[in-house]
Amino acid sequence: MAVTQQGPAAKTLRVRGGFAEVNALFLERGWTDGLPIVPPTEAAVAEMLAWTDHDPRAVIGVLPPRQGEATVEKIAINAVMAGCEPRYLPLVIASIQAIADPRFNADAMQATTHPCAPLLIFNGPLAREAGINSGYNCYGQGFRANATIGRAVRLILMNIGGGLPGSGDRSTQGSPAKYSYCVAENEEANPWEPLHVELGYEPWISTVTALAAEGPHNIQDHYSNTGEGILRTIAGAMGQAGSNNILSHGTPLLTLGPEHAATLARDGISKSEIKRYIYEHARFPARRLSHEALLGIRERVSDVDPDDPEATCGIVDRPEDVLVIVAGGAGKHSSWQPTFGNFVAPVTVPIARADGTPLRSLTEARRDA
Amino acid sequence: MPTVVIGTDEFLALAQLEARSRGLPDLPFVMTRHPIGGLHPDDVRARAAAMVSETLRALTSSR
Repeated sequence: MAVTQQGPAAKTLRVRGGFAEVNALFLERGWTDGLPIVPPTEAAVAEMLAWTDHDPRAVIGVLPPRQGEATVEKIAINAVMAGCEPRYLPLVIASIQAIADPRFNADAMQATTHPCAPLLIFNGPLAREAGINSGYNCYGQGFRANATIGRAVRLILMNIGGGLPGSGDRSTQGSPAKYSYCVAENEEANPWEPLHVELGYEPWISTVTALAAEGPHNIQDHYSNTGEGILRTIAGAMGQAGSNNILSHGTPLLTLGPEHAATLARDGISKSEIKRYIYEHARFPARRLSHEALLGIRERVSDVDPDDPEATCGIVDRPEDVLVIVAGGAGKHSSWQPTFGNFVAPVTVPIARADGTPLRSLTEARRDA
Repeated sequence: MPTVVIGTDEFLALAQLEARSRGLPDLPFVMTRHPIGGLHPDDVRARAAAMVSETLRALTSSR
């Protein structure tokens, strides 16, 4: 996507003092997530901006609820604050492109009482080049790319979009995923095609898929020896009461651990068969919900009769709406990421130069490359 | 087209922020006390009845 609209230049702030004074000021003004930030000095922002061929004033997207214009320069400032390596900038820009896409519905994610956070799933060679963890503890701590790319997006949603807790961000309880929610698919351990290839991209193209999702809910099954046995546990976990996918369907994500994925593939189960199984079996018995809850579900999805004692509540309209990726290290654990329901949709964007050409490496984006 | 936003007071500040940022600073709001989720249907009817005249005024007054 070529970006033509230009936004205002960022203002420069003069601060007397050093790291502590800058951090005290930024915290006081509500410009941080509560953790200390890296001061976005002119030199640090200039070094960050050297890693993209976008015009610094180009507007990548308009972010609600404030309708703030996310210029490349303002994205870079927040990426410095988050602790990103300068070469991560194209990954942050692509993430904001995806989130600002109307199909993603950032309005809903930003302002809702639901605890959804912008999950960023990276695919392709640039994810490996940037060092985005796709192995052990991939949804956890310990990797700069995962920790800071997601954090940069959070700071942008706050500082440009105005998603501040209690005003523009009305999440009842929030989630630790709102600090940073960034992962790469473990493509080497994926016995099927990775997400971006499934979506029609060539393997060499790197993409980010953004999705408004809850934090991971673990799915443990150490005991099933067959793919069908693992699917029963997965469907049982995903067909839980209280998720927004029970309420309104949408596109829930299943993140298979490599060992569960290997067992499923060994038993000849395809990704589309996994999706169909979840569509058919990830269901909660209507008789275990209140009549009022069932009426609420019926308002949003048509397949539940609140007066039928045998009715079950599913989590998707159709099998293909289930997203499946493979990530993590050894162990008999998978997880699922409930989403904000059918109010939002996943959006995938290739990581590209300003003219839309997909990048083959992060250094290719450098101005002096 | 005459338009009014009906909601609960807890979300008034957010609604005002959204309206301002989308260029609708004069959008009228009629608010009831938060929360309304969990109220008995009779209480919801009473709340709605109490908002009718203000809603009509917002829809018919010129801005």
